[in-house]
Parts: sequence; C-alpha cells; structure tokens
Amino acid sequence: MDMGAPIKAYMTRKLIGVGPDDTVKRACEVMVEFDIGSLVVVEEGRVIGFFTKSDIIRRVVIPGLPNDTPVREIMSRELITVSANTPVREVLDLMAKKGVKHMLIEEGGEIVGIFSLSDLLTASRRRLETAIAAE
Amino acid sequence: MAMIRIAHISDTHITGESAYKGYAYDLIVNEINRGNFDFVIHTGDVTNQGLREEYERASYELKKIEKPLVVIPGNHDVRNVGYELFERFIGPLNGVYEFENGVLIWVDSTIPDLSDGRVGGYKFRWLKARLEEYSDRKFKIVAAHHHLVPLPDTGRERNVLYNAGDVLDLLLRHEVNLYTCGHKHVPNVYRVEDLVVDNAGCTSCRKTRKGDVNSYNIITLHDDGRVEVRIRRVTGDEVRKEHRPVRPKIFIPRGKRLLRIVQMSESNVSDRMYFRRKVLENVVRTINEKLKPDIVIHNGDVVDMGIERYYEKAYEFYEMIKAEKLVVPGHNDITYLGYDLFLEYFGEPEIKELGGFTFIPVISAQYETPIGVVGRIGQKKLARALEEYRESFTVVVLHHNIVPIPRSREVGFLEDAGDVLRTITGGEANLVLTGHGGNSFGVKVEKTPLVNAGSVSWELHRNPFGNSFNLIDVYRDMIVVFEVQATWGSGRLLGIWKIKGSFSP
Repeated sequence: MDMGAPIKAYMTRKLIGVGPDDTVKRACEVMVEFDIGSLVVVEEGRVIGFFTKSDIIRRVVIPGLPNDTPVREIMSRELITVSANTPVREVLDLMAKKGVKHMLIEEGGEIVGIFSLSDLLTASRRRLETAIAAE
Repeated sequence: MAMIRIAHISDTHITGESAYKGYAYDLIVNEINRGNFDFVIHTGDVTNQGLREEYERASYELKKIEKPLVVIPGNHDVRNVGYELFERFIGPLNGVYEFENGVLIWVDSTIPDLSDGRVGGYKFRWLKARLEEYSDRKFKIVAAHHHLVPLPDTGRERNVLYNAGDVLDLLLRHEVNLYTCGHKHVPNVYRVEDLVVDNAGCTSCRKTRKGDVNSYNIITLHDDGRVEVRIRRVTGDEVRKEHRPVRPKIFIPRGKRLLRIVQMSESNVSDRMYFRRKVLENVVRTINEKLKPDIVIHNGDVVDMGIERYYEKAYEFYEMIKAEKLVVPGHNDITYLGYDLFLEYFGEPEIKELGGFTFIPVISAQYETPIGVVGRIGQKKLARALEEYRESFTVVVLHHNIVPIPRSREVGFLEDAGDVLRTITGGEANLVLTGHGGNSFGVKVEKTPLVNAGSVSWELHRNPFGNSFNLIDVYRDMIVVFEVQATWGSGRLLGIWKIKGSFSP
C-alpha cells in the first residue's frame, strides 16, 4: 500500500445503496447479499444519508423498532467525509482518531466513494508497483 | 463554455526515404495551425530510424507547428541509440505539461532496439508520483507511445506494452481521464471504465493498414467532464466518440437475482506439487453446499498436461459439481494427447442456453503454445452468434485474456485480441469470461464487462490474495462480481456494472 497515494486509488468507487423509504429489513438483506457493513441512502441520484451495521444495532435493535422502519428514520444525515485527494496516511489517521470503520469520500461536493476497514485490508496487499523491470 | 482542444498526431516517421509522406504532414500541420487548438501531442515515432539526419529534419518539420507541442518518443525514435538524439533535438523523454484545469504527463515506454514497450519500475514510480501530485486536477492525461488495449485491424497482437496490465490498473485507480498513444498506425477510441483510450493513426507514414489514409485525432475536453475524440482523416472524414464519466456510481439492488455463475480457471489438476488438491476439494464443496450456482464455468487449464491420468482425476472433480457446467480448453489442456482427451472427457464446448442467458464458448487454445488465437473464421462465428442471440444475455467464454492483466507480463496472449475485442464490443456481448494469467481482473470496455479469473488451485499464480474463483450474480439491471478466496471462502468485490436497458429474461 502507498501511504502517500490519494485515497481515490484505494477507495471503493461503486457505492451500493438503498432508497430512503426502503425498510431496515430490505437494507439488511442487501448488506448480507453483498457482504458489506454499510450502505448509502440515495435519493434522486444523490447520497443523502449513510448507516452501518452498528447503527442498526444501536438505533433499531436496542430501542426495539420494527424491521419495517424506513431507513430515513435511522440513517445518519451528518456525513463524515474526506476529499478524494487526501493521502491514505491522513485518512487512516482520521479514521483512527474518530474511531470510525467507514469513511465517505467526497469530490466536487458529491460522495464518490467509500473507504472501509475491509478496503484497508485489501489495499494492504495491493502495491501500485510493477515487477516488469527496475528500468 | 470553456473547453480545451488538443490536436493529437502520431507516427510521423520523418525521413528522407519513401516511408515519410511530407505532403500529408504539411496538410495536417496546416490544418492544426488554422484550428483553434490549445496544444498538440505527438505520441511518438517522430523519425523512422532514429538517425541523426532524420532528427535534424524532424526538428525543422516540428517547428512548423505553431502551437505548444509535447513530443513523446516511440520505438522507431530509440533505434540506433536515437534516444540520446531525441533529448538533444526534440526534448525530454518524460515530462509534465500543465494546462488550465488539467495536466498531461508523458512517459517514455520504449525499449532500445525493440518494438515492444515497457514502463519500468523507475518510470512507473515517477508516473505514480506525478499522478499523486496532480491528483486534484480535473483532467489528467497520460501519454505514451504504446497501446494499452488491443486494437482492431492490426493483424497480430504484438509489440505490446509488457506491463500494460499494471499501467492500466494505475491509471484507473488514479481516475485518469484520457490515455493517448499511437504505435499501431490504426486510429481507434475505446472507453475502458471511465478512461478514454485514444489511439492516433499515422499522420504521415506510408504504412497505413487496410488501405487507410493518414489521419490525426482531435480531442476536446469539455467543462462538464466530457472527453470527446474525433478521428479526422486527410480526406476530411470524421468519426466522433465521446464519454462522460458517471459520478457518483451508485447501485441500488432491486429484485431477485436472475442467475448465479461460478467462474474458475487454471485448476491444473495433476500430481505435481503445485496442484493444491485440498483447495480444489474445498472449492467444489463450497460450490455445492453454499453457493449453489446455476452454472459453473471453467475457463480452461483444467489439467496441467494433456495426459490420461490427469484428465481422469480432473473428471472426478468436476463430476462432483452438481450444477450445469461449461468447460473450455486452455493451452495446457491440449498439450500432448490433450486435444483428444479433452473431447473424450469434457466434450466439444457448445452454446448453452439457460433461461434468457446464452453462453457462447470460443476455442482459443493452440497446440503446445501459451499463445491463443480465435482466428478470422472464429471471429465471424462469434459475431454471428452474438447477433443471433442478441435478445438474450450473451456471455462469451474463452481461455485467453483479451485485455491485459495486472502483474502479468503481457506478450499478446491472444494473437488476434484486437479483432476479437472489436467483435465482442461491436456485438455488445453482455459479459466476457476469460481465465489466463493467474490473476483476477475485471474491467468494462465500451459496454461489455470483461472478467478474468485467477487460478483456483495452482500454486503458480500472480494473485496477492492467493487462489481464487469468481462468483458472478446477474440482476435485472446489474452484474456483480465477487472474487472468492479459494481456501477461506471470503469475498471481495471485483466489479459491479450496470446493464444498459434493464434485462428481463
């Protein structure tokens, strides 16, 4: 992994999401089917919210809300983002300090990607190098 | 609206000999001087042999261009130690040109006295550092001489960039908008994910292909992010293509999964120590008990060598898989007696229809060589099949990778890859599955995702995540590809692509 590379080189740029009126149950099905720990909430092509598995535990399971609650009621509207050009090193520093497992990546005022701990694990095995020759 | 206009010339082959067509050069340069261009890119082969008298003439000819000019060295320029002369008469071999909102980074991809290309470690790191430095630029252009993806109408796929897979991966990760190159004397524009790959034809060399005329490309970078390329021939004919990157890329899964494919390759069943029997047993169990796909596709190299003992073992493994199967032969499968044994054990691969899905096998393996070929008749057959099954979801299945794979030394593994890629993208295949090179990779060219499987149970692979296979789920409006680690069963998203005009079987 290149610590100096912009986070865009390692982020997941294809976001999987649900609509704000989709139920928590549907959202959980999507999370399981795609083996991911978070989802963006999308309205008219724009990301308006975000939530993770632990948000579901905290905001649905513990308060005892039904699983047909629409996700707009439990999603985070205040999004923690960094610019897509931020070096990996700084993003990791921020994630460690804020204690978050997912970071939304922003460019030109829009959410364009996500970087999670599993992306970090993948990135840790991906050197942007070539073995072809030293030349 | 603000925009940047670039003239892209290439392969001028300036010389006193007949290879150079001075009138074509002057015609195009006059047109460029009259046009409203911000700058000009020359992607190499300025001279014909890298000789001193050619460089002297070239430096005179290039001065006719009355716009800022960036010149990249080509394989012809570095012949006869021409690279020393290039720096003296023309300029730096690698460099950066900044413009409003954007940057052009050019890199010397040549190897002295060879026609092939290479962006070696030092240059690769330099390129990466520049991409990091200019990360926030709206338009990032990378220019080099050699082509990045195979081109149609070039005959044999050769003189390739050895590490094209690594370079492609780097450019995609850094969201480079445009790659400009020349080299093959064939003008072409492909969209690879959000990267526009712009090949210029030859501006003033006699050696055109298929009786084509000289040409140059006109690039327009629009303020709204669109990259437009027009191939302009000296006859005045124009072909226009453009791409607008979609951002953000959001996928909202709707409805049930329509089809699940398990794609694997290079099991290389044998009694050699490189064959990981237990891993393959585990994979078969995972497929049967957990994944339950509708079809299992094996992209070849089922056995390590075409001998009876290995085929018998391989057959036992694949008999255990309960789902439908489609197996195409790889180059290992048809070594020795393999050609006959493959037919005996797995049969002739045939078009398979499954609901609204059509799987089209293509035989690309050649006897006793890792280089594959589809052939001119094979391409026509493929084109006809894509046309015939147009209404269904078409999946093309072959052994050899068509686009370069990261971490592999690309030597043109499919000798007619350029024409095959055109057949596939032109016929708008919905998905292409390949399995050569020992690494997983997925990329969309034009409208067609091409997915390569790593090695499922062979120790000699190039995948940092170990042995793996791909799990492909098709929904009404998208294709989702996971790479599954063969030992642990953990998944990683390899690619997810929208299906244009939602598909309903």
